[in-house]
Amino acid sequence: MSTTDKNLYYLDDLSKYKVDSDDPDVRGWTVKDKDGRVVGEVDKLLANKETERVVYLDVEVDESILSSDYKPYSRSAKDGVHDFINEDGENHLIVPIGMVTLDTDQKTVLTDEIDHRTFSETKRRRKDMPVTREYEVIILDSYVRDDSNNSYEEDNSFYDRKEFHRNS
Amino acid sequence: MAEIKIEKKKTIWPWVLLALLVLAAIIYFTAYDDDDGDMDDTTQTEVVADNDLDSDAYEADSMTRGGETMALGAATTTVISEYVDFIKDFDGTMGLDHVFSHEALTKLINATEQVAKDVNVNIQADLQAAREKADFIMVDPESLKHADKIRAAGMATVDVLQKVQTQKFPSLASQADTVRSAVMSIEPSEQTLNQKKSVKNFFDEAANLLIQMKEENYEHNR
Repeated sequence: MSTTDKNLYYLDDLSKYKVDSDDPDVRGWTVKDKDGRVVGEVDKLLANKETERVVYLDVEVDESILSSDYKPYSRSAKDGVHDFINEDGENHLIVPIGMVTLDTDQKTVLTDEIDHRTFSETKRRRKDMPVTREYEVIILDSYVRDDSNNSYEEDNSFYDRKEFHRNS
Repeated sequence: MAEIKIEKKKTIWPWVLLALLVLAAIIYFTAYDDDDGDMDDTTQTEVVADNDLDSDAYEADSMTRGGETMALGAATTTVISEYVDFIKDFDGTMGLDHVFSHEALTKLINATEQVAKDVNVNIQADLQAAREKADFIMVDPESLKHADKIRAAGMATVDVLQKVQTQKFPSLASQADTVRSAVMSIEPSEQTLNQKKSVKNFFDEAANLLIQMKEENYEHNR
């Protein structure tokens, strides 16, 4: 199903598209944290149809993440009002493409900046749920704990953030 | 630091269309060729008696063409050349012995037989008679009287040649007559030694007739 009204789609839903033949299709690859610890497996790809690039990897998290009992991180105070917890059955999170490197030999996705605990503290959701801009902000806040980063773009320029690009 | 691009899938149907067109072209061209192939397959069946010539001389490669006139095949021209070359080597001033004339007649009969096969004239019985007469020359080698045997064998051979000529090479009637005249001018009662020229002349004229047959197209459907 399509996600936000902001051009973000599961690749599975884009019948006319496929992973570029020059790039690896990482669905099914193991995802590891910065310490090399397994945190999950890539389930789906989320792509920006306009730029024709994958933006997030949708990851089904590992049991070790599920069993660690951290409260999800949120910068916004208002999220304390409703139940900002990870419920049972919520075992998917998204990872920005710019925050990972790919080991094609090992077929592994490596995250150099996110550790196991951070993953555990990141708000998850159910498989195949739409990805709202709100959710995107939540997870970015969690991965990049930078209090100076106070505002996020509303539109597609959101994806110009460094989290979505290769480090130059 | 990763980048995974996506691209539009290539549609398959233009390739399917191309494949269908290629297939149609193949079918069209192979069907077209098959028509020619049918013509190639028609051969003429003949009644062939056993004889002592090599069977591969009878490869009917000349039979594979259609049309009203045809040329003699390669096997036939080979046998003709054997006869022509053989009598060319004889210049008439040497002794004309019975071995030579027997061999010359044999080669002439062989060439005649091959031509008849090629053009599909049935002369097996006539040729058998000619062969027997030619072989008769070798009987009683001490006798000086071979001229009559040569004449007889020659006449039988000319009968066959003229039959073939009449049926398939109507334009060569006059040369066939010349050959007949040549063989008839061999005096049966005269010694061969004394009429070397006549004998040689007969062989030469027969050679000319065969050469002309080789160079003409014969009438295929007569």
